[in-house]
Amino acid sequence: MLLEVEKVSKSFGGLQALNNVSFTVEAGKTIGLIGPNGSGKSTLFNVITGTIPTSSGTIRFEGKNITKLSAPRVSRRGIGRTFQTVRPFMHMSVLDNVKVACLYGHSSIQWQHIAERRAREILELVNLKDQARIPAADLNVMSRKWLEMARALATEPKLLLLDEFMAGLNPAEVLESVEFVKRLKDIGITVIVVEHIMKAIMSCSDRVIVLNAGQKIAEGLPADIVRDPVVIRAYLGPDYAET
Amino acid sequence: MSTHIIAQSLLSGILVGALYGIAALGLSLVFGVLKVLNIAHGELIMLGGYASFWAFNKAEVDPYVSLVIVVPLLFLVGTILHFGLFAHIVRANEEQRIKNSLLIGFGLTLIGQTLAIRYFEADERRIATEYSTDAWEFIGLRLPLVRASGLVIGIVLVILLQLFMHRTYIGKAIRATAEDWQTASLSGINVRLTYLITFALGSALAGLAGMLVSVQYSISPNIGLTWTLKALIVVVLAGLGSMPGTFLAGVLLGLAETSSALAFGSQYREMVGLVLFVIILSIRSQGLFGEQNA
Repeated sequence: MLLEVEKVSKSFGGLQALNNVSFTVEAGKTIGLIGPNGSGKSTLFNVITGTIPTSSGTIRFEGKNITKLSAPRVSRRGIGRTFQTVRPFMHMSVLDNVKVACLYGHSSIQWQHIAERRAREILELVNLKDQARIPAADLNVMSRKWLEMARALATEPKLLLLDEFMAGLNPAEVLESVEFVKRLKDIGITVIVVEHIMKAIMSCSDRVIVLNAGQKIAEGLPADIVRDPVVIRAYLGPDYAET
Repeated sequence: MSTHIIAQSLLSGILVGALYGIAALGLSLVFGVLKVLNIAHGELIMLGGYASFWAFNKAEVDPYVSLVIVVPLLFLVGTILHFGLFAHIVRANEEQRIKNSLLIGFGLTLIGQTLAIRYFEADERRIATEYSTDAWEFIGLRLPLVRASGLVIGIVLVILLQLFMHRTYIGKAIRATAEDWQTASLSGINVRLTYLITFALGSALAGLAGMLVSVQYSISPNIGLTWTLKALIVVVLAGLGSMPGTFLAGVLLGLAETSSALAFGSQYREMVGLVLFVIILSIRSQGLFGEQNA
């Protein structure tokens, strides 16, 4: 197993954000993570990436316990993420944003010219090659999202966590993003994607995990999940079930 | 008032302002990256000044040569201070960081002053070399050698810092961490180490400024707060995020001080900085050269 999350809980004071969540992720698969707002999806990403510590439970990556590792160490082990609200380094150029992640993300000993070459390759992959020299602050929202993706990819992740990457995109852009997620799978990157757009989740996920109020309420194939009465009641709603 | 006097005053303003700029570089760097306001920055300047003074006094080391000792020494002092005190603050949120750093800074200022009086004595001291009174004359203007050295060192320093921040491995990490430590962290940057290096570098810059203070002016155990205040005015004037901007703001403050001394008399000189401080905070809180968040 690439990732093993075992009985992970996280509480903030009296709020139980995650409650005994367990699941595993097989290498090469794309996992959809869904649930209503406040169900603990982003918190789960935060604890996996070491951004915040767990209250209890264990997280293993490639068989090794990473529960107590700091975010940069987790990143170097091979877990990358994008944020729901994009957070590029606004005052740096697009190229430097990606270059920083190339330099530090995977191996801390790389020559700058190698990092630059790699950064340019990644920018080409996300169609930002022509904007390499402009400051990230000058990009539009869509391009900032792709820059976020490029920065995450530059850390050479084996597991990539996409936090509502498709939020706010128009249907054509969503389609483009879904195709990109499928391509990630083709190049061997395992993906966990948090998304509210069910069509996108259905078309790119091998398996879907559903969270509600910090607890895992369902897990299974996308086709089974959309018919699960517990999921319909907690998240999808009866309207979705009828369509 | 003759043109010559005005020109000579403006030249003096530029030279004294260059020192203000250098004194503020370290404070600006630490404030910008760690979001920590080190009120004890002036004590580090004082310590740098004394280190140069004793190197000159005891071993006859030229003050400019003493930088090879002073700068690493203050880098080490910064490392220890960060490890012992400031590393604990940076785990808190931004608002808490500033509050706590102010308290720790005041504490350090008091300790620094007391120790300096105890071990260095309360007398004013300055480094008087053979070239201390030398000056160049051109078109009737007098350019004191040691003061001009501050301007040259300041310009070279800003160029080197710019290259360091934009071209080097650590510099990029510092810039990234200054913008968003969480994203930096998820990009694999060791934020704690970056904070440590930044704080130590800021202290080393204070040490360099201290050497220049001991050569151009004088040092005593109570100069710390005065220099912290000067540096703080410059940082507010410049805004965060630009090293050349900080240096230029220092020069502007120097020019403003000498101009006001010319116009209204030298008794108002010190007040000008504080007036500028209030005006800039009121009308342009990000400073003259500061970067606004996009």
